[in-house]
Amino acid sequence: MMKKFWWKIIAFALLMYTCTMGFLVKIPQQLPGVPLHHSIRNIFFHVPMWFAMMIFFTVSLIYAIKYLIKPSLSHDYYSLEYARTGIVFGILGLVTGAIWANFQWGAYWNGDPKQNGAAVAILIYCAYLVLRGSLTDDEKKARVGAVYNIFAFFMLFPTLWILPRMVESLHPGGQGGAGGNPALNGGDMSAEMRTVFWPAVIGFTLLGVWITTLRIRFNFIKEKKLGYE
Amino acid sequence: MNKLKSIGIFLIMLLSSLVVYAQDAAFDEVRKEQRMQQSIYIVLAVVVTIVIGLFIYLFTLDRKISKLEK
Repeated sequence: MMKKFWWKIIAFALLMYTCTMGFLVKIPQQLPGVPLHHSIRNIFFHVPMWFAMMIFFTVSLIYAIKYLIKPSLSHDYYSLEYARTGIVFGILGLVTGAIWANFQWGAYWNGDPKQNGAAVAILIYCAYLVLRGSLTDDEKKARVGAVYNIFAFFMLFPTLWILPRMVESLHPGGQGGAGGNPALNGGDMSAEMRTVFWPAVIGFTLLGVWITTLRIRFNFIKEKKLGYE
Repeated sequence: MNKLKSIGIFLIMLLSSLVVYAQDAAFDEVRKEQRMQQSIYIVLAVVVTIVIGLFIYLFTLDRKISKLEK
């Protein structure tokens, strides 16, 4: 599966589709709330980063639990590399969000609860890498890492999903806003936009999976080489 | 060589007529509006180029790692 090519082609095709239709698809002229104009097209690029990040962190959690049930090197590699890719996508989400916010809300950082929450969530995951790096024993590294990974994953829920919705937020879904689940039924996407949005989510996720599998394979090669020496 | 040169000159003259056309219409409001609308296609081309480039890079990386695995 990891070494097969067909899903990489699909990733390429989906991202090509996203990157062309993302600019060409018709957007609703009158949107509820703040006038976004063409910057609404950012939904095809900014939001899939967060979707992909959530998926990678979930996969990372699954492998962390698997490791704790049955310790094996490969489970640890999967858990570590998916967390790493998740962090990369999260950072990209923060940066793209800041660029969009500067145009739409007037500043790169507005102290919006969702912005702050996302930053905290990513910092918690960065601490995962720091924690692993600070331990020298490989087995201890993997086990402590797996336990911390579970903690980090469950911190995503208050920081990203619960707290931003309990207070007023510039993001959709906050109190006093349009309400509902942002991006899914927030009412700010037309049917045409959805035909670009979902391929974008799948495409970016597959791209991240590809990068992750490359890193995992690299780890295996490194491990093998160290074993010979 | 001579033939090549004459073809070159022919092409330059052909293209220069285009420039003249463009200058004629440069101040035309309709033309300006069209240009504004077309600017999105430039961004599209840039983004598509970047994504293709990244994918080519990933493919070569994938190939290299596959070779190492053997």
